Amino acid sequence: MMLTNRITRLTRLVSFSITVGAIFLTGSLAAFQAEAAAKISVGKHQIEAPPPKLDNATCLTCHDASKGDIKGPGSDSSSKPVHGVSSDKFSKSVHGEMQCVACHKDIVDSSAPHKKGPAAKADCVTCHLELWETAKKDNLTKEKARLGVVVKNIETYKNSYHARPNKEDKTRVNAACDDCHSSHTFNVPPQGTSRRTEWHLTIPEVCGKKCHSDELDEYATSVHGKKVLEEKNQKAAVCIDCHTTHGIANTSKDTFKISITENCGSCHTENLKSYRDTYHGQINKLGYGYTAKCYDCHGSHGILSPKDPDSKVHPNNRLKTCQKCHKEATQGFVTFSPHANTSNIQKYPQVWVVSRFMWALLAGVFAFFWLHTGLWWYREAQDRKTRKNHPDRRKETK
Amino acid sequence: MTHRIADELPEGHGKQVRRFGLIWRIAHLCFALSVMTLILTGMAVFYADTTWAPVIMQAFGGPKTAGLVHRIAATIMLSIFFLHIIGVVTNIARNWKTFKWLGPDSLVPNLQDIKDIYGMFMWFLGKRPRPAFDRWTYWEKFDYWAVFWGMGIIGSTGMMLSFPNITASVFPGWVFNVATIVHGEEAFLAAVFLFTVHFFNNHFRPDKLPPPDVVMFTGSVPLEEFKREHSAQYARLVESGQLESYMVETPPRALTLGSKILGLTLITIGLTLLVLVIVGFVSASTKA
Repeated sequence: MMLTNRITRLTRLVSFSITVGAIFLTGSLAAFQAEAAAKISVGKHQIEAPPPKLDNATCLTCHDASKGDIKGPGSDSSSKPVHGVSSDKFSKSVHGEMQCVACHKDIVDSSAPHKKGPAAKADCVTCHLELWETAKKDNLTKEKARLGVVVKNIETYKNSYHARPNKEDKTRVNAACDDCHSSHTFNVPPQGTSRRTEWHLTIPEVCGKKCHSDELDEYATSVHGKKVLEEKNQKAAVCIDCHTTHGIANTSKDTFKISITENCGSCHTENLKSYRDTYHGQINKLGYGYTAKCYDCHGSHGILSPKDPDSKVHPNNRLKTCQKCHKEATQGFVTFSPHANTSNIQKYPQVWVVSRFMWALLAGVFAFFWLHTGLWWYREAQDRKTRKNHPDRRKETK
Repeated sequence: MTHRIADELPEGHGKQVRRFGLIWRIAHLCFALSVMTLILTGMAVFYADTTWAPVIMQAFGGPKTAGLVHRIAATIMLSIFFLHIIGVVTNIARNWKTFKWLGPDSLVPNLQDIKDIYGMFMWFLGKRPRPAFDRWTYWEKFDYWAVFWGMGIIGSTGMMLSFPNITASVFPGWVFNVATIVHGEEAFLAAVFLFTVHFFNNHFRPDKLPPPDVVMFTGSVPLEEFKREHSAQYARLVESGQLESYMVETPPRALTLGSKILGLTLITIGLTLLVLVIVGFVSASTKA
């Protein structure tokens, strides 16, 4: 009996708190929305406060992606798929506090199909340049440093391959901001967080899904791709680690070829160092892209571990790889070590011995002759004061 | 009192002593210029990490042109070296019966050189008077043989790297690793040795100041200097009565002036190259 009583009491308590909680939650949500709307109208000075019927909730009645495949009436009698936004992901994105119509300025009504208004849809660049200008005027560059980074990225992007007009469709660029950064869910987590790691692992999908699918397919078979896509290894390279992000350039450009070498080397530091000791690496360092670079020998998207029998640098395949550039390459090329160092006696005994011999030779020659020179300088200067080294004087004083 | 004899030589007979014939002087100049070219084009690759190296490369119009210049300079240098060997061998063959391998006119190191090294260090320490040198001092002999060693080492490794397909059909691949190290380190040794020790011995020690010493361009030294620097040879020539055959007219002023300008130019280039190499060495050591 006691137990039943307790349960009844507990149930009442729970339902009461749910009710109170719900009331409170609804209230705060409304307040939050009002605040967000106010922020938009104040912060983005040019944007008018949205008419009450065009708030985000109104938009989501049709455009909520969580409702599955959604369709709406097209301009003719047929129905067409409706662009769905995941409200959950949107609210977590950097733009989560914004009103849909703040960007979709061309939408002026809430009935489908929309009759497009005169204003064009907002573009990322214009808005972000304005935000940064405002921040600079308000002396908030430190607080809003991230906005400065965005502006810098925009500048870099403008010179990139992606910003150039598309060959097939000159009216659009190769890739615009929202081709990589989904504007509804965009939120790059801060460096060093676990969310950043998760985000990093999604990059191959971003680049590969819409545009670079062949590269993605090849990448998936590579040592990097397997680590990222299968093992979820955060350290393995994704597209942007080699190709860079906003400044991405045409891979046929010399400067870009050279920068890829540095990018590989930012993880493979020891190999970059030993590469720099070879003629290949020295010419590359001087700013010329025609000598062998990492990917010329190791492959690029499909790169494999050197131990893999299919690797281009596996001893069985090496001569063929060398012959890509050195057409007449002979058997001895195979046993050349493009990454030798002077400190590993087990792996590179000849290099170890010869380097030490050379150092000893140099040290010996310079030790003797610089000592010889130093003493000579001193003695001859002393003697000049008295001229006692003069043959005449010497013989006469004897 | 031997020095008096020269003082009593007939007036107007010339006041300089000949040390280097015309062909040797031309050979030395071409050799110096080709070596400097090799150092400039080679060190720009060896020290690719420096800020000056890309500038040099651009001035040459890229590594392909610089590489061609390097190979042309190497061909000139090696040609002079081999022509020199032919010349020396012919000379010795001609005087086969009378040539003294260990005599004062030979560049072959001998016991006297060891004694002179010891004697010089005793002089440095102020314990003995300076040794009297004959025609070739031990440091001059070292300069001469160092070129042999350098030619052999840098020349052979350079050839291996220049003709990789032939090299790799005979040798295993680690030869390239070794050749790259030896070629670069030996070139460093040659460059730094030439522009410090060789320059000091011949141009910058107190008795030679102000630089340059122009004997390698005019071919002869003033008698006073000859007496001081090669007193044993002087005494020997006076004794045997041969000195007169070495005496030449003081070179014309134009030749002396031209030689001084040429000498200073080469010294300036050499010291500039030395600075570049030191900058490269320091930046490479601080990075490692």
